Amino acid sequence: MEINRDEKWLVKLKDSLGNWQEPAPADFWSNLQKDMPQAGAAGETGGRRPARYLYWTAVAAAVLLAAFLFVQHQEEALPVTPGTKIAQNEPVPEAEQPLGTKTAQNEPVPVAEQHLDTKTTQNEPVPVAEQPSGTKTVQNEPVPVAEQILGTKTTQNEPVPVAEQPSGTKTAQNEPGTEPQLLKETIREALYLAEEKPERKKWIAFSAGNGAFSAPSGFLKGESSVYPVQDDMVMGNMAASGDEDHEEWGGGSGTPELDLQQGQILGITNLGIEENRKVVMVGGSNFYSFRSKEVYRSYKYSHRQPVRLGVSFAMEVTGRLFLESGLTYEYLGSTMKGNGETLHQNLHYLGVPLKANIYFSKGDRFSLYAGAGFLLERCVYGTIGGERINLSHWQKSLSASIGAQIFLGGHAYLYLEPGASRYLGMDEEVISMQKGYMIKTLHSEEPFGITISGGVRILF
Amino acid sequence: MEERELSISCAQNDPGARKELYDKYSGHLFGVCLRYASNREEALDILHDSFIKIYSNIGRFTWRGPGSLKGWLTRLTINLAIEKIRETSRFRTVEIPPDAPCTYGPLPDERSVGEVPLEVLVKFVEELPPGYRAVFNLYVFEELSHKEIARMLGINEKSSSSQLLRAKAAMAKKINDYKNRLENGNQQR
Repeated sequence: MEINRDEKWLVKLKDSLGNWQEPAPADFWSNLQKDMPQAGAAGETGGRRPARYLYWTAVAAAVLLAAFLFVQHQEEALPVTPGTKIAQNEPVPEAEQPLGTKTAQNEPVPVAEQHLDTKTTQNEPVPVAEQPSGTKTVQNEPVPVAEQILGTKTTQNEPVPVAEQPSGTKTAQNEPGTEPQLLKETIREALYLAEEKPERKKWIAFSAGNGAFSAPSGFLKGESSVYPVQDDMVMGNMAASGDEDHEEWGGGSGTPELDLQQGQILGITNLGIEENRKVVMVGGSNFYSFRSKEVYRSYKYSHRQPVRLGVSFAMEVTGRLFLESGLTYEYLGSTMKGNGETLHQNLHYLGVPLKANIYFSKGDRFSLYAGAGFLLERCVYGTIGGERINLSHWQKSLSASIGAQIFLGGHAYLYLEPGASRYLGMDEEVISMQKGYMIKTLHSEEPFGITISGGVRILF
Repeated sequence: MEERELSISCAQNDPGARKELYDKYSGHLFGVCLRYASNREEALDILHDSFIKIYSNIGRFTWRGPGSLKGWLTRLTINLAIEKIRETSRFRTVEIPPDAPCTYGPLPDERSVGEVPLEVLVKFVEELPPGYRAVFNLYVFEELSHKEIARMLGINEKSSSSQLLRAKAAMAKKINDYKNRLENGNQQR
């Protein structure tokens, strides 16, 4: 016979006995007390439970962390003597360095400054620097030819000044993370792609032969999905020509050799490269162009209010502590004005937060808590002026907050959290010139911020 | 004190909170123990051990809404009761062939159950063999499936089903007999 849980007599039995209570004997409590875990020598749970003052300590720590982040931000915001900042961030151009001097190993001459005219104004042609003979270039690591920057874009009517590598200076190994290193990585990556991916090589060599080629922006956009690395660069190919008075700048390791020749450099004037862009030679005949740091710095940025959306889940580890994680999306939009143009910078980040919260007042329906956490974000899509960029930058931030939540039912809670966050490693130099472009965001310019977040939390 | 605050205070070994928890839930838990135990003494043993375990583990309790504390206390007590029954090796299961004929007579109606005093109904449950009683309680009162019961008791699903069949037949018979005795007594008067 099939047993039916819903048979009426069973339902009646359940209703009658299910809530049936019978008082325990009068002496049961006193006997139980003797065997009960004693206060101060609590059972396993009591021992793990933090004392009440610890909760308030956690709140105080969260407030102190917020205050510390704020003070640190204020200190960083103090005005810096312009000369000092320039000295730190902008190595002296080689043209200004006495010949025969050595560049300290820790302060290599950035590649960007090794080119021949670092700051060329259209009306002021920079005289060509001459290379003293008999000097020696010391390279601890063969510098790929591609790293040699030949010149910035000038108008066609203005001859591009040719600066030459000051000999007699000792070029040390490039320090990782510096602008030259970043450029080196960029070009290496480009070369790697050209060498390893036949289909990519095809278009890099698109206009092989004498003369020059400037890829139209439309062409580049069309290829952006295939060649994401070079998206912000104008790329082309230029044949070597001119005198054979060349100097070998590296080669080896399979890196294409670049002959630095005047004919090539002069050829750049006919490339039709947009203004405000620098040119990097690759492989002797290929070139890239991009906006220089100076050009980026001359833009005036206006940032939109950041918008962050997310899904988070929380789990109570103990009665007082709950951990929270999930997935966030953030959009950072900026407008760049300058150099006679207006560009829009759009960056989309995905991030993973990790946060620990401690209740300091916990009720059935309403709770107050304090927390601190870390958010790691990665730019998954970005454009500058409509051109796709590829950021290899992690956006990290610390946060502290105090929150209130209301129980909605099930596992759902409505919460509101005012707090503060501090972005780390957002110095301009750190995230600048990555793969040929420089990023400025609200977080890089204002690393400290007050945040108010709210929503529905799923708490398990 | 609200449920959540009460649990937190108990976890902090607050004597007042412990007493309040006991006063609030000991009656209900004793009722649960009586249903699972074979007699009153065994029920008191289970209740005693349950409260020791409750006070030791209440820090692990996560409040999930009104009533969640009572549910947690009940589950803990039931688990301990099952554990006790298995420890004393009095938990026996009787395999019944799937095609075994129904062995119980007419089922009692709802009114018949209502006429039996609660104490007597508890006594009927207590009188069931340990295996029948555990399955009957878990199925009827905790509303577990045979799969869950089988996993909890360490038996197979068919065995759980057969235990329930027997338990139900026994309970039906007891209720019907009680009703008949009651009617016969009234007639004699």
